[in-house]
Amino acid sequence: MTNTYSKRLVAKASSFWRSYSRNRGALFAFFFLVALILAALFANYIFPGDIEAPNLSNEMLPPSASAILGTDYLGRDQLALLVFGARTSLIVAFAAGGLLAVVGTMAGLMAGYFGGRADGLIMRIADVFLTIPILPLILVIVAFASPNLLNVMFAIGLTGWPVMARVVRSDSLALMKREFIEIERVMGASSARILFKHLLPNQLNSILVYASLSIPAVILTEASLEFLGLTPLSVSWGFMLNVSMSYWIRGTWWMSFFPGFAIFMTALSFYFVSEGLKEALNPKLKRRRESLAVQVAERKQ
Amino acid sequence: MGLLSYIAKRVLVAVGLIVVVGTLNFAILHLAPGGPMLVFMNPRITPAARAIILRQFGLDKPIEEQYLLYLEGMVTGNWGLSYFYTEPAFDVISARIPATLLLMVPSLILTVTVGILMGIASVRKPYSFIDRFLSSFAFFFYSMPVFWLGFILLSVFAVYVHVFPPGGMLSITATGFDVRDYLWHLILPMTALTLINLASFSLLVRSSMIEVLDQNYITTARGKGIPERLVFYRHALRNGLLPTVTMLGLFVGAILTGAILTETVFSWPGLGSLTYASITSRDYPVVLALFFMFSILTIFSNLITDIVYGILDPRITYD
Amino acid sequence: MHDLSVRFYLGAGVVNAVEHLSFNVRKGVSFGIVGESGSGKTVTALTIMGLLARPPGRVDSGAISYNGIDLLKLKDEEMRRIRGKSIAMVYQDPMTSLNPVLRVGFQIAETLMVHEKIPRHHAEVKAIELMESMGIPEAEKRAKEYPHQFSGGMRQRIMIAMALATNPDLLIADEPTTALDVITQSQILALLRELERKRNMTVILITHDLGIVAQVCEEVLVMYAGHGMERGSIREIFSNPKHPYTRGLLESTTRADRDIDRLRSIPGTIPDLINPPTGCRFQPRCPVAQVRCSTQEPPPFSDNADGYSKCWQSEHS
Repeated sequence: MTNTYSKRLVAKASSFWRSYSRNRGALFAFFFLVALILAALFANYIFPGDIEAPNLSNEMLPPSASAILGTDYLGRDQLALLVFGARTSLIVAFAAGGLLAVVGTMAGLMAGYFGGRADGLIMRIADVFLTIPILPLILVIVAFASPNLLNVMFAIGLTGWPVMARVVRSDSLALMKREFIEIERVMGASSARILFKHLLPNQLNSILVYASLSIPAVILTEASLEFLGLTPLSVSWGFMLNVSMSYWIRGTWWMSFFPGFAIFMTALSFYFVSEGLKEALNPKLKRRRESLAVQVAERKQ
Repeated sequence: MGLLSYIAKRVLVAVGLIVVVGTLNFAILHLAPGGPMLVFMNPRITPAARAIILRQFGLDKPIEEQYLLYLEGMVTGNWGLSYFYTEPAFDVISARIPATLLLMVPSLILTVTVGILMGIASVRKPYSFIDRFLSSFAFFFYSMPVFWLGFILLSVFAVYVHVFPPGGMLSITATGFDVRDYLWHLILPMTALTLINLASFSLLVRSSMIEVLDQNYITTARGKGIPERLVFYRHALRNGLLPTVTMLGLFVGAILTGAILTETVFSWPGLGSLTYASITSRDYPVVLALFFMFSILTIFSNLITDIVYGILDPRITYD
Repeated sequence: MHDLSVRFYLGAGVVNAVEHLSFNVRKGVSFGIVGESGSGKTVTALTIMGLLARPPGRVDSGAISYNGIDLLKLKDEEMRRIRGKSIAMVYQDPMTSLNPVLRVGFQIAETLMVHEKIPRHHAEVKAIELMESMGIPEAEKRAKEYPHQFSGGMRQRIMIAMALATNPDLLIADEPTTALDVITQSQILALLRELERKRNMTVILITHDLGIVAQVCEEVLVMYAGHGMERGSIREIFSNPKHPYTRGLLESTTRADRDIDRLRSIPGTIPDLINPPTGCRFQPRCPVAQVRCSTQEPPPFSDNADGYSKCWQSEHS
């Protein structure tokens, strides 16, 4: 029994992998991210010792054989700093992204399922988040609460859910019109059952795609927060850029280039991965009203 | 009739949003560890000033009254006292607004015009080389942190090759406002800010146009035997650009956010660098006031674009 | 039309929208194409007009002969000149088929401006005349209005006016009444009949409703799964249907069931157009299917000039 089930799973997984790998960019991005995650996990082994310890004789050296990416203002090896910095970025990316996805999905499901006033209310709240500039909001939240990583994750997750909610809501609304939902309701199925056994599983694909699509923005936001000095983590990509602000005039380009490049590559990779997922999971030509602009314009009328 | 009621509705929503933002501010103020005492009671200010603040904000009164007083303060321009400058926060902020506008407005204009052109170019032949090239360009820059791009531009064009100034809006030796000097300083930060916003804007234009091209009335237009060029420009474009107008409103929010980061990198003396400075110096009243300012700017621009949209879309004007 | 095959090459597979379709339409004789959704009727119409979305769609075989010219062999620019001028089309959904940001009078006048190079104010005057002849009241005032200010029936009339502006020889009407209520429907149909008479125009009416065909058309083509199953005059089809599918359709019509998606009384569903079954396409649902029906596709058997029936049963007649 379990044998055939696991065989089916393997078959599904391998066909998914085949369609995913048709997009070479997505493939490359996937491997990059895997490498990054592994490096972050095993950073301690790759760079033993206290990488944060200042090494004042080696201050601000350009890239060389001994320090492939140069050293920072305290003489520390930048490559090591970058790899450790990956931890922060990846943790926030997944945690905030996950939070955003969960809250957004729940909101969207409820808006789509209950409709009417609940829908109006949820969407109105989402609208507020859309019209208020997000970064300032997050800035204020994090600045006033104590600026630690947890708060950053919460702030980003809790302000980013509207986009997700909108997508899930429109999908839910479309699903609600289908016959099998009608059947379930007539048979007296409970709301929870409809929500979780029918609405949700049918949308898992698009939820996954949109969640991964929102991660680049999360990474950039988190980097911006660090850049502005809101998180006291010295080993983070954004903060490295902050520090480099005082030094770039002396020509220490490597202090700004490499951390920024890391942010860029990671965000770009998540973007490619989400595109790859989109192509692999949605082979049928589904016409959906994705364009945010059109949706917003529609609501005016 | 339709248009006026539409505008009225939009204004109402805008006002409502401002109230919401004010309330948010108030909530954050009181929910922060230490509460408003910590925020407003800067140890550096004189007891006399402290007494004034206490009275103005009624910090010893029940919370509902405080709320109303706070809102009233927001409306009348009493946004608290800056720690750092020991001036009203409002004055500090308003002094910086022109600089930010001088950066944002040119950038916005450039983003919109080039973005629309790029979007059109990609959509004329979907999935062609141009389309894929422009789309790649777009998400390439979309993933780029604006401050990183700023650094690269600075390092290359200001340090390595001394073509552009290393930051600031006007030269230190300048007396008064010299347009040429300003423009010379403008180029690098504007490039950084524009490139990144261009990316997302052109993608939005493109997707909006693609949706329009799929519509039934485009088939009808073609079925009339109208040359493709006319179909595109007269039928598709007019419909496709409408949502773009709405998007612009949201976009201003994005540009503002980008301005915060860009100004910091380029030491541009506007609201953005003020934000950075006040965060670093823990000048809480100013931070809060800045958030309010940014929100007002965004809400206001949304209102304007909504109104423009209402004028342009016949479905709203004639109903 | 001769041996037309249109396929859509999608990532997921190849859809055989139309296969080896042949039929004749005589000038001045109104012609109806009947079939379920998915039978290929709209694709056929679009192909005649040259409106097929060429990247996924492709005409794999066939010729469409119009006034002696093969439409499929024409260059894009040449086809464009015919389209809208000599052959015009009215579309299915009036709610979305008109451009929402352009004034109605202009949209009608546009056809004239493009094809006959008439200056704008002249064309708009003619447009108003057309609107009046379509039965739109206060045409002069309403020409300046926008599509959303009109009801569905009115919009359909506007579309017809748009199509007729250049006095085309051939008018293709794709489900012109599906989106309308019954009263408006009969008005529009009456309008079509009148137009046919007055302008000596040939009308090809596409629909899924045999009742409509009975009201308007003189000759009929029955399509199923991309194939032309039976073609004949109205009288023949209704009194002596040769193809089992046609018979099934007639039986279901009397039940006055307005189900748009499926004709429930014929059991089964339309076949998968990506992997169609071998042999006759209708065979899985056919009540009189024989063994050879599932292996050999029947050729069209005809006993007169234009009519035919693609069924083994018709072999002997």
